[in-house]
Amino acid sequence: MKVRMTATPSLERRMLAMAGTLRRHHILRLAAPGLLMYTLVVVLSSGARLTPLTIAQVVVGGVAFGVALWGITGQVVPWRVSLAMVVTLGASLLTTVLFIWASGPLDGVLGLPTLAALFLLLVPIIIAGMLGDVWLVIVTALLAFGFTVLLLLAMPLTGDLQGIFQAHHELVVVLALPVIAQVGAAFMLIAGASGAGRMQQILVDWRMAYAREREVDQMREEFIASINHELRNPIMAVQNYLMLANLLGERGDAAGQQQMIQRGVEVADHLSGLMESIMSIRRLRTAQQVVTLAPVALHALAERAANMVMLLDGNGPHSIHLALDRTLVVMGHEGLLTETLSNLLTNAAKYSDPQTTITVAARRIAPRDLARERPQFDAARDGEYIDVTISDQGMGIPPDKAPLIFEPFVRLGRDEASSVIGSGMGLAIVRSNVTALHGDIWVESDGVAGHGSTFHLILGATGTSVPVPDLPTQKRTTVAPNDIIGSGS
Amino acid sequence: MTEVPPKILVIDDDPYIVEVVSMSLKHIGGYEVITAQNGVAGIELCMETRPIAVVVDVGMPQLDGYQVVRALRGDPETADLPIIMLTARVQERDETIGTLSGADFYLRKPLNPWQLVQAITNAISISQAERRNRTLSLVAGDDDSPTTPQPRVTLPPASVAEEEGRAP
Repeated sequence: MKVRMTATPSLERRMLAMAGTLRRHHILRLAAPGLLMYTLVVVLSSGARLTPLTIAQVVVGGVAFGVALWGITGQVVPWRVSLAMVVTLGASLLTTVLFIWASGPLDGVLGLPTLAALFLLLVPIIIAGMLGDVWLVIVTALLAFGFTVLLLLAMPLTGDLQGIFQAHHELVVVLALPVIAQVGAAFMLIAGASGAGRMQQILVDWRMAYAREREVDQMREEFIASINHELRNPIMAVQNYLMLANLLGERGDAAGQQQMIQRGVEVADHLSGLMESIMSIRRLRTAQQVVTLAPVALHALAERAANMVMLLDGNGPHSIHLALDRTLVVMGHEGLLTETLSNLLTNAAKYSDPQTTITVAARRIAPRDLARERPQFDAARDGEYIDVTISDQGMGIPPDKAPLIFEPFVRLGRDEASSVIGSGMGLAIVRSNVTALHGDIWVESDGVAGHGSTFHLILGATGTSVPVPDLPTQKRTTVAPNDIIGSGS
Repeated sequence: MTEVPPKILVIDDDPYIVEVVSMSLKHIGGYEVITAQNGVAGIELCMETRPIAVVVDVGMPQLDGYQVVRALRGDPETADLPIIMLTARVQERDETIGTLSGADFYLRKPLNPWQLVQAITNAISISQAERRNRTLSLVAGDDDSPTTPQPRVTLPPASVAEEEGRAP
């Protein structure tokens, strides 16, 4: 068994550095030109004269942009980025208004209502930015630009268009350019924030995926160490029994020799079973199980599986309660379903104290209701499904480990340290079977000892046309029950 | 009057190891073997039955082999017991910990039954004074002290070496 190492810490560092560079690149490419454009226009609009008000406007605008950039470069928290943008634009507009107000020549031309309308122009852009939709920002920015032009044309002035602009050159410079600059700067900033936000989200997703993969790898490694341990001792036992048989034979103790050989054979049998279990990983990885689904009476099948598990219950006795309607019929495969239920019941028995109860229940459920409980389930599926639950009163599964337990060769740390014997394959086989049956499986547990776990096994009810994705419908083979029963868990 | 064979306590959670070690000690060493499947039961059984030596596995749930050895060495009643540790671990660090915890010998699995019996014989031969001196220096944590013993015998992994093992 070879462990695939997915990512090393140094690779992680490199990936993080790369993501950081991309994020900075986004900011520099999009937000920084906005700031530059804003500053230039503010200076130009004052006739390139550095009045105290111009300086104040540049400083306030710059600080506001700084706040916005701080919001972007921090951990992505959309409200913080949005707040920074509001502060930026609000402060910038305020300084513009002050500038216009103080510029004198506009007195009597523009009143407060017009200034308020100009301020309102920026609101849709800000909202679009909050929604994180770049196209919406572009559309609103263009509308704002158009509206600004219309506003200028609608000024209560006389003369043709050229005359207006010539006569009121100062008006255009003083009013239109700052507005256009702010719209442009807002767009740049929002686009920068949006890009940086997406980049950050990708980074977060990647970190989570990496952490999960690393955890699975670690659990696999631990399991391989455990397999080594499980194989080593029986092999050593066989060696020692044979050595002792030889010794006893030399001493003329034929009965003792026979006993040692017999024990050696028994241990070798156990080893063979262990190997079989380990090798079942190959079946999961190489064999595409394509099965023909047929109606299966659930109660009778659960009864057989329960009897089988109780007969071999090494951690028992447990009582298995079948709370199933005898008329329930599922679309399934007798062999795969028996193995699936047996593995789940065996697991429940292994991780529960003796004398506790394991309950198998089932209920009909519509896809829409199922999707509410299990978001991954496609609510658009047709027909009706059966939710079979297997509940125990055992030690439970920590919620953070629940998604991992269906991975091959995964055993929880606490199991490695306990005397519970397992190959870490039981639930992987279960998931493989459930996939072949076009069903679903998950576990619910709060991880508190005594509260136990509940496994949900979703199967199609009769009359339900279960989807068969990516599989040629004509080319089907039937998995014989003999091939699968007894691989254990 | 039949001579009562000396008792050896074997503590291991793996039934295979318990059985093969017991068989080896019985058939090769002529010892009577008592067994315990975990550290706590092993310590209790040790107090009750007073074996002449203890064979203990390192990896056990709850109380591991190191803790068992420390507990036995810490009790004046059992401080001088010959103790052999068994392990499947192969790292040198583990071996050092095993020796420092106070075991007389540290054997790696897979075990050669003759080597195990030889180790018990050797451990029994360690004098009380020598063991106490060694334990004291370990407790004092003076690893550089000349009295701190190096692992006395580190037997290689057994390779069914019948010839060398036949004469315990």
